[in-house]
Amino acid sequence: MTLFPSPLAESGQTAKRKALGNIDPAGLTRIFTGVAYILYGLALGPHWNVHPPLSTFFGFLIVLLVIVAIPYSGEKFLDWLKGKIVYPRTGYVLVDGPIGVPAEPSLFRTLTFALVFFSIAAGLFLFMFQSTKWIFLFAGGLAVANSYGSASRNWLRLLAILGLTATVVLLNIGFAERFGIFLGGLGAVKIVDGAATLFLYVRRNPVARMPQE
Amino acid sequence: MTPDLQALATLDRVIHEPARLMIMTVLYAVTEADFLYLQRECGLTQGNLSSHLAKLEEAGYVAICKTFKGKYPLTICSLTKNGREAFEDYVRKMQYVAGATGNGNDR
Repeated sequence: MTLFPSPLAESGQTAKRKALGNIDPAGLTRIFTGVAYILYGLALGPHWNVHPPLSTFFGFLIVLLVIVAIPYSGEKFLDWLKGKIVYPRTGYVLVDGPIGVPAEPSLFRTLTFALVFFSIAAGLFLFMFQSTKWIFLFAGGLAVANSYGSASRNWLRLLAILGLTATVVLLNIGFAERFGIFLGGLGAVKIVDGAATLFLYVRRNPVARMPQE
Repeated sequence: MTPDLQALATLDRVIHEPARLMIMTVLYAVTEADFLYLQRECGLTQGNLSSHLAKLEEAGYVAICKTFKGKYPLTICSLTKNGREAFEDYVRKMQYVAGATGNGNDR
């Protein structure tokens, strides 16, 4: 053990951790993701039985448009919301590195996200006519993936998602409804969680009423 | 004075001041931060932070950009290349002195 345990290095790490925590302390991303999930559920879910969206070129185009529009407009909307809610309270900070966010949402990032989601949706559509076991696997996989990313840090959220998965699996309904309900429920869990975080954040951090120097 | 300790005499006085050291440490860890964020993190008053930032800017260590995020005015601060190098040099010297002092067990 050295006499000076590199306090500067530790301060730097702490500063970076705190800055990363300040990127979205208000749960706004979670709320928006929740809304997006519900919209995806509405766009992709209940109508599939009647009009499978990928069966026609026009349907394919609409689904692709919805998938691209939600994350792209969402990032702009989130940025605007942060300007209204986060920056006047806890300030603006941008962190470089693998977990940091770029200053402006890039089209490449948006398109990549959209394509990945679209591939999943397209894959699902194919599996839909093969075997129902894929539905369970998908529901479980999505729940686990989502839990791993965020919910594992929050047991209530994890339980809600697992409960939702179980409900969807047990319900005696068609794939489209199942898929729609699952995405919608996942969205609702995220919105509730994000709203609670936002409420606490706003209560704890009043707007700093002062001009910036 | 031993050569090890002489390193202390060459420390950058602009950075060595505690408030400015805090600012430099925060800015070194992030890409950029606004005035309010720095104020909250460093626990400085508005005037204090402003004057320290002015000194750091004068030394060429910090770049200050006044802009808007929506309608919200932002004074965004970031370390310049010189600032990063100066901070790294400062840390290196401090570590050198710390290393030369030993672990305190040989007293």
